[in-house]
Amino acid sequence: MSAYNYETFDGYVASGDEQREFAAWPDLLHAGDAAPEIAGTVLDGDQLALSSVWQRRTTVVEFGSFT
Amino acid sequence: MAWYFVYTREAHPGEHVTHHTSFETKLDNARLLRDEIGIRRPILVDDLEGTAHRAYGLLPNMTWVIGRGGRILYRADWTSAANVEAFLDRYEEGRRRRPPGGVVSSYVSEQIEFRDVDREAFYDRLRRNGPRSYDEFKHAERLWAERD
Repeated sequence: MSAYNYETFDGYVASGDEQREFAAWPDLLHAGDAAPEIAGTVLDGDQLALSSVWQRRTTVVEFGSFT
Repeated sequence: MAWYFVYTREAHPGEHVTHHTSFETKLDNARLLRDEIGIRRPILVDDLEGTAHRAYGLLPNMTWVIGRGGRILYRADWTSAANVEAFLDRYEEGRRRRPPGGVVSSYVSEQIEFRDVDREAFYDRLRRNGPRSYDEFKHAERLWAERD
């Protein structure tokens, strides 16, 4: 299993990954840049690429989990 | 206007809401999120490796607005529905506005915002994921304090 799906939150913090990811974010994408594709699976199992949505409509995308 | 919730890795996995060891686990957790938390926006589940999440920087509670055609209009490292809605109102008003004899030009701005923190409610959500989720977060708080 990759470190992306870490098993323990304190282990993720102790590894320094959390600190590195927060430090990198300000220099990532900015307003005005082309949006990278967001492709995934909807809950009924179908595939969806959000570019097919934002070609037609302004799209708000929230990233998250249970907490 | 379209709104989507992209389900990522579990930020604070526990005994009840576990980290993802397979895509099926991730999809099951996303369905649980819809059913127990009551998220009404369409949920899109990122792949197990977090391809979309990585492309947008891996932070746990981001919101982005993508304009028609695919240009990023807004990004925030924390989700505030009120802030997003205020931005969308200003953006749509700006697009519509055409002063007589004048022109409208766009510009980019960046601000620091503030949010209320209800620590006890957050701890309750950690405990909901499982007791170890709370314990690990308390340990992480000590690690952060040692860095300061």
